Amino acid sequence: MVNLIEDQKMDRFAIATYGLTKQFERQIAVNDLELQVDRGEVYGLIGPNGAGKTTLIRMLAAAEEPTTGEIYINGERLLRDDSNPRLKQSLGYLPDDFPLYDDLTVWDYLDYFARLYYLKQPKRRRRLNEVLELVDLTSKRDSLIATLSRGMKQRLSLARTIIHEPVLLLLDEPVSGLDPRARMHFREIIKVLQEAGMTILISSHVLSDLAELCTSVGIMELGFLVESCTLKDLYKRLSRQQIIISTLGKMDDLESELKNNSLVEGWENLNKDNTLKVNFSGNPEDSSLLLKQLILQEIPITEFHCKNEDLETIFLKMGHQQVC
Amino acid sequence: MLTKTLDQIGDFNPQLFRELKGNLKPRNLILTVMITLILQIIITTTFTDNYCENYDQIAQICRQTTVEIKWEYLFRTLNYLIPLTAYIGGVYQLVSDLSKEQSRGTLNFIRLTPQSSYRILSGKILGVPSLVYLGILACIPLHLIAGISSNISIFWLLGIYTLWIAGGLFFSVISTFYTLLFGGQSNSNTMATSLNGLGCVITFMLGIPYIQMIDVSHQLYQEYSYGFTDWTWFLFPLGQIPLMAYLWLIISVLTVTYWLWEAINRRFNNPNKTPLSKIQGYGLMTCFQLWLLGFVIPSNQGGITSEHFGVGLGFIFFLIPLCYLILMIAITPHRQTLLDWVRYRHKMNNHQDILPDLLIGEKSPAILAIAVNTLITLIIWLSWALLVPKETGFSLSEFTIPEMIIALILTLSIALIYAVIMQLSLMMKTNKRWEIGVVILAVVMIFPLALGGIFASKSIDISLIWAFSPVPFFVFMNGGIFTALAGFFGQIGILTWLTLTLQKQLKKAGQSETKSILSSH
Repeated sequence: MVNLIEDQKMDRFAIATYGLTKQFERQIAVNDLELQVDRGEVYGLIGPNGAGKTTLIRMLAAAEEPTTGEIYINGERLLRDDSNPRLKQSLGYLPDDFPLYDDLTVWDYLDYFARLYYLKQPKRRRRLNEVLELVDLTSKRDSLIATLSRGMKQRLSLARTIIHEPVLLLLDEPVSGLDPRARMHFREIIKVLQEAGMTILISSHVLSDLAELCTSVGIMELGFLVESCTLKDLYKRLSRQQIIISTLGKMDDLESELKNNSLVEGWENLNKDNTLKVNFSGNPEDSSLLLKQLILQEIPITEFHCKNEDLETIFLKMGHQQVC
Repeated sequence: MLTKTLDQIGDFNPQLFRELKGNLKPRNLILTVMITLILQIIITTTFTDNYCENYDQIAQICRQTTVEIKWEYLFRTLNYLIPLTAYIGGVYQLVSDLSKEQSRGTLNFIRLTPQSSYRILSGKILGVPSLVYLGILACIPLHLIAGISSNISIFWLLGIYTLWIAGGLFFSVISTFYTLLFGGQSNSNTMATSLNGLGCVITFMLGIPYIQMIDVSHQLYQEYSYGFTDWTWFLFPLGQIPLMAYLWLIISVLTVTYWLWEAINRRFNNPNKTPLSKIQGYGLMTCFQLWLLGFVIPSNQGGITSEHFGVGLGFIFFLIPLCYLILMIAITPHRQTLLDWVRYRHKMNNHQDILPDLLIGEKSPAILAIAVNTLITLIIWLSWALLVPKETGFSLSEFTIPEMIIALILTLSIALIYAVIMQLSLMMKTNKRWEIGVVILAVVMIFPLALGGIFASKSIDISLIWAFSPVPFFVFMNGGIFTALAGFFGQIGILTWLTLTLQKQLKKAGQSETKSILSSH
């Protein structure tokens, strides 16, 4: 009975790990990690270099064997052998170094992987066209992979990763080395996949991308998962409210007025002319009162808007240190 | 037509499809067939004689010539050329393809797909050398015609072809095994080239005797050569019944290939695993030794002859120690696996007790398993030695039964020493632990041999040195039973010291980080 309840509990999660540990030599890359990701979530994994993100993703993809611990994908135990073809069919893994076959054309490469994942005609052809359109490589279908740019190669790798419509997508630094336009394109693709119902675990150093994409985040440090919650919760707990205020008048007048408000914790002079970033501990009503107060004091306000601290600031504020 | 067939193959085996699609391009197909045809014309011309039937003395020209092809020479030349080209060409292509895939990292993606390793690897083995196979296939009609013209029966020819195919499978599987084992260790082109070169040399050295055996078999059975007809394996008179010898050979080759096939599949699925599990190691070693035993057990009432005895000694003192070395490499886990084992054994719930874990565990050190193999060897060969009648072997070689038993024990215990050295080498921190291990082992083996040789050439009698060489039975060349016993105790001393060192290292590796930090202060 207890087992049945446990099974049902595990079934709920797209990913569940228990006591997951990986040791290289005497260095523990992933330490007794317990991770649970609900189905349909986009889970962002952040952490400094050497925190164990890549090792964790490799273990979840069955590309690396854990030293100890267990991994369950959709309630099914993941093992690194020949015994779980069904589970492998449900996984898509894009590593940070996406090796490709330079001698193949884009179409042949995808066709080969589609066959490896048991896609039969006519579905195979349809799916190939779909993913090529999604990653915007239809015009390159007959080009040799060797002739593609880095961004195109990265998109082709993503196409290979999703060709078999996996239910869980594991993306390790998928936007590293891409220019801003290519990154934006990549983000758009991820959003489409999310809408299609895939559970996505994504690690990235570009935290603004993660903030835009993710529903939950996990912060890793020295092999430990030090934080794992929904993005909403994280902002609620750790993000301070900030108000951007610009004036046409003197900065001294504005600053002296701010000093009079007990909810103002401090401010920072932005590089823009006559603009301050104010750390504010009050609620929306309090910020409205602050605005009223400034206007009554005849300070010529041109900009007044509230925002939350971004993910990057929260991450840096948490004091996580780079390992290397 | 070709595209449709390829497409159907692709649904069944995508890897085979990928390889065939890459190789079987019209340009490659035309080139292969043309080169093969040109070579066939050259070879046939070499074995063609022109006789002048009608020579005009006045005009000094030949009015009528007869062309005669020496079919038997052609047949026998092709008997070597065809399989050798297939084996070396196949091995070359497989090793370069797999080492390229390993260094590029693309093999990892294929590993993550739901396809079974059997399908992927069979696709590689059948597809990568497909052009070589095509070229060989184009040569078969000429070989067939040459064979039939040399009065070789069609059944015999079919026998030759099936044995060639079995040999081809063996070489393909062993080269895949070899590349999976060593190919991932370096990304450099030099490494890939050396792997390839070595693979081809090994194929040539192993392939020639096999091909020769197939080639000469017809002549041997035709002429009932002296000695050959006495060839038996257990009760089977292989030297007298060609069909029996054929079945024996093909089953033997396919069995070895099967074991290697299992090993490459293990390795492909998880490159951190040892090529063979400990249980497979016991099975393989027992089967192989029983197979060897078949050669030295007489089928008639005459008992073990001096020939049997000589061959048996060769097995015990040369072949089996060599197989031990291979077995050690195949079942000895790497440093990381051992570190994980000593550090986290309490969390791995597969085998609670240490003894079963050491005997059959996937990650435990292999020393006890090798000791068990030693015991199996001792039981098999001591039983055989006791069957040898005094008046045959022992009297001829002046080798007494106790001497032989001691020599056997010395050989096996030196093999155990090598096993511990190998395990210690694989515990080293450096990435080159494999290479260093092989060098250390080579030095440990060659040094006493060289020393013994130098002393022997200067007529200095230090027989004890031989006890520490890979051929410890040489101790009886000049030394007696007491020298051998001294050597044995010396070996036990070394073995104990090495085992204690290994135990200490494992214990240290198994300490938690906290303990190691505390103990360093």
